[in-house]
Amino acid sequence: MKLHLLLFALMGLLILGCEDSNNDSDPTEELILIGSATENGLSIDLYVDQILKVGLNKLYFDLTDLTSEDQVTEAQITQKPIMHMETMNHSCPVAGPGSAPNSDGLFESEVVFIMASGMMGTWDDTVFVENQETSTSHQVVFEDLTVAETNMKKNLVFNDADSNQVIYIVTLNGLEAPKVGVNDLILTVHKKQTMMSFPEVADLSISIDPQMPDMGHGSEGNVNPVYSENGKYEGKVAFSMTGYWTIDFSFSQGSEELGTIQYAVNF
Amino acid sequence: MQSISRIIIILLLGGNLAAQTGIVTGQVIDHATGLPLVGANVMVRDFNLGSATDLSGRYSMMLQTGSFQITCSVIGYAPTTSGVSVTTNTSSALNFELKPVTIESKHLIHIQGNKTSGHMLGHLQQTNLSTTENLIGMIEGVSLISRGSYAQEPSIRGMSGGRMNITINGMKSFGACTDRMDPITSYVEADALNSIEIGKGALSIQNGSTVGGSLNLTMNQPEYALKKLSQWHIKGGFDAGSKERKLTFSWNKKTPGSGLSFSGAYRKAEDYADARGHIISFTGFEKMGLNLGYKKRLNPKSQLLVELVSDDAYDIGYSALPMDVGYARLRMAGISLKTSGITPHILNAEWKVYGNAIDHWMDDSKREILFMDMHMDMPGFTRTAGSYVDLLLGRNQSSILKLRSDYYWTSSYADMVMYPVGSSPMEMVTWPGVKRWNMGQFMEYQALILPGLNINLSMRYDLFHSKATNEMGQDELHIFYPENDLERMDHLLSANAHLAYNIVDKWRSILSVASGQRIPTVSEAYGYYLYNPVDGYLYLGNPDLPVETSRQIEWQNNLKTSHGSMSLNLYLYRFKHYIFGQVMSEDAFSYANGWKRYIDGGSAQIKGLEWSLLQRFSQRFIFQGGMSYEESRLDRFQDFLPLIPPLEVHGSLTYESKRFWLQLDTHGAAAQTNNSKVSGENSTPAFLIINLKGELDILPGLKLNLGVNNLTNQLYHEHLDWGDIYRPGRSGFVSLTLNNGILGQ
Repeated sequence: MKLHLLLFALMGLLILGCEDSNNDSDPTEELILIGSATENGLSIDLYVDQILKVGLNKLYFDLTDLTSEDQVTEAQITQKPIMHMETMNHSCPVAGPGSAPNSDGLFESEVVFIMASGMMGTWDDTVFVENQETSTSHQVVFEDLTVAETNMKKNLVFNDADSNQVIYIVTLNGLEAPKVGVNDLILTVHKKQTMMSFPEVADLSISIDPQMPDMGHGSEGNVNPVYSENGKYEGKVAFSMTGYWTIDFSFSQGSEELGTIQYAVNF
Repeated sequence: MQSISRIIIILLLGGNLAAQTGIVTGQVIDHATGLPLVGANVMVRDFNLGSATDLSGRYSMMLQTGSFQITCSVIGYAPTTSGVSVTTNTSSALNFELKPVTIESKHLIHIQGNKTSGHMLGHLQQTNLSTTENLIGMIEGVSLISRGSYAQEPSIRGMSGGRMNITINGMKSFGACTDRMDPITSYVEADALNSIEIGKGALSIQNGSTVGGSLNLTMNQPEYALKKLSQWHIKGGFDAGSKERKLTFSWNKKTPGSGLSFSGAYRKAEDYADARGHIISFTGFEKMGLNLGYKKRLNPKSQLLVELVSDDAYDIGYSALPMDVGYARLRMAGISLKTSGITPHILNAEWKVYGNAIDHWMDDSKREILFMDMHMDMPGFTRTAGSYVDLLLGRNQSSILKLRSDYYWTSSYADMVMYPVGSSPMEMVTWPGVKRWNMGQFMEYQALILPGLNINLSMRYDLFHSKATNEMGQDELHIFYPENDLERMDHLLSANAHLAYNIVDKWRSILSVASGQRIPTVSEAYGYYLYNPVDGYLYLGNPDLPVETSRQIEWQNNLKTSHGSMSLNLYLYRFKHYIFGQVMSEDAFSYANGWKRYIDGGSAQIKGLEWSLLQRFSQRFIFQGGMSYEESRLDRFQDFLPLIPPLEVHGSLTYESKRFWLQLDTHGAAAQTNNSKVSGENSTPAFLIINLKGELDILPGLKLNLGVNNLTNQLYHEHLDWGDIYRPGRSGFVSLTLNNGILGQ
């Protein structure tokens, strides 16, 4: 009797163990599907890791060949997000997706939304896909994307050597849920060249200065943001306590001091 | 049984002899516990005659008629001699209560009872407004750090806080205030004290490893009585200076097999005035302490003791700080089992289990002028539980071995929330939920090598484990120590040796060497931005601090004169890894001068001397006085150590008669200019104050106490006072004590 019980238990463990190992995790499980489109035998699913917001966003494209029902991993994707306003249209800084999917076969891209959707206008994203497996081209539009407002986008405005006004669009990311201690942060800096063109700015020196105005002190343990890729500068900010904090970022390019912009964080 | 043997002896000796002899019989008990002492020697002085006590501590012997001096001695206790008259064919009773020998490394001060030891303290305690701290502060080499009129912190030879080991009835307990505003001594009412045991430096390590010293407060214990009786007292007092009202009471029920004691004290004080008549704001407080003890004899050799202590203080003003204390609360319980004479070799054994909780709430809700225009709260709590086992082993008359195994666990958490007007609350964890346990093993060997030459060796090993467990607190400390797991394990080894020798009959000289260690306190290892008003810096803990180590050498001399005694102690401490706050940033902001971090401050030194004198001029006049002086040095900074007391003197002249006593006492200090510059300490001017007090027995059971403190109305503060706040000016006090004696019992 005891032996039976033991065998039963062992079998149970085996089954459970097998189930665990067989359970391939779905790469899109952690992601949010915000749009699906099919065009000419190709299905394109658009995923995000968080709801879209003003600032840096990660977008994931999942391609499926509808005839074979297989994931398409050899493709070249470009996208063009456009904000449609009453009197004008404009785009925003974009990087990718390009032609190299991640290990889950998803094509990753980064979009820096510079305005929230709503009364002022709506965002859509036009996506071009070159399917290299079938040598076909596809174009779809994901319409009416909801982009939430944040106060993390600022403009750094200065005059260049020729006294022309230059606008760098700066967003602060990573402090959506700040904590006491050291927080990783990412600044993005892109030049507003035209309404449709926002190239990255890669040659800035940025210094960080968090302050607590109610106390009159700053904090120790901050790391100045340093350029990584795609207009991103990665650094660290330390908050020694909860409350209302301001963070000043001072920008310089070569020997030129471009100015300072201030963010507020309250938690 | 012994009555049978007595009869047999008498019968054997025959009527003739019996006609000229009598019996002396009695019991020998431990003065402290009331338990019988087994195997005690009872010897007739000048005769080669003696007896020993049986398992119930009783003895009997037959002597010729006449007067005899009988000495009773047993290992670990002070021998006592008493006279007895033996008359023909009668039995004379002679009982002995022996006091445990306090090891010479400790000063044991009995607060009540024995008038010759701690004489002055005895009187001080009888004045209505003395506090536990005042009592401790009267001992040479002990000073008090004051932050207001409440909860002064004891400092032994300039070492306090984590350098000291404070216990209540042997139980570990830890203050819950990050600013050290609630030293454990503040949770014990002076009226509830029975004795104070002080060990200086690492000379006494039974209660824990230490570099600075140990302090054990023994509270009033329930007592047995040969026949059932109950005793009570009630006392009311008033101090004109701080308008302090005090009410204390006690009730004791004693039977041969059990004892119950219940006592309490309530005090309420307003702000006091200094010598100029200026009211020192935020020096008032309200406090109530209760103490319940129950003792039961389980069998002739064993007893059970249960003790419960509670203490609640409210609205405690701290003039030296921008905040006050809303409440400070202690709850403590202990249960112990003591037994004696288990085997001929195990003389005594005790097992104790205890637990306590302290809650402390600092806030500024009573202040009109707010620190940085905002309210703030600083709650903190500690929880502690522990146990120890003591064994006293002896093989023969001349050597004794004491063993203690102890364990405790403690948890400390504190945070701080500030409420700026029109902005978000600001919160930080200041003690990050630090959990710490300690396992220790202590042994002490005492032996009489030659007549007049004693040695005493002790050793202690400790294992400590500490960890910061609060997540937010961990994140805060990771700003400064990104890779640190905020967990540490420490091994500590302490040892000391004493050699005591009677150079001449009345001159006893003790040479002691000691090596002590201590681990960093919760604040020193894990504290987060703790504000220190002395230097105006915020302090950051350092989880990588090494163990602080001391080497100590001490030479004590006690000289007995025909009418008193004199003592002189010389000492030297050398420290390694002295824990010290080093300036890390001078960026001053609204209230702080910057921030400091606890570091390994390298080597340091303290040396000094203590002198005391007790002289009885006549049957009525007694003088007691003392002096202490020390010098310190922090080598690396070529500076002095902070909070080192200057040259201090005190003296008292007491007139005693049957129904009253009157005491004039004085207390003063020289200017302290050897102040720590690195710590931002100020120098302090000299002062001398005079107090007058007296007591009168009006009726049996009714007693009046009167006195005036600071008789000459000096404007002064002491070097260890935070914020240089002036002490109270002249103030009179009065109290009346009523006890069951009034009923003619």
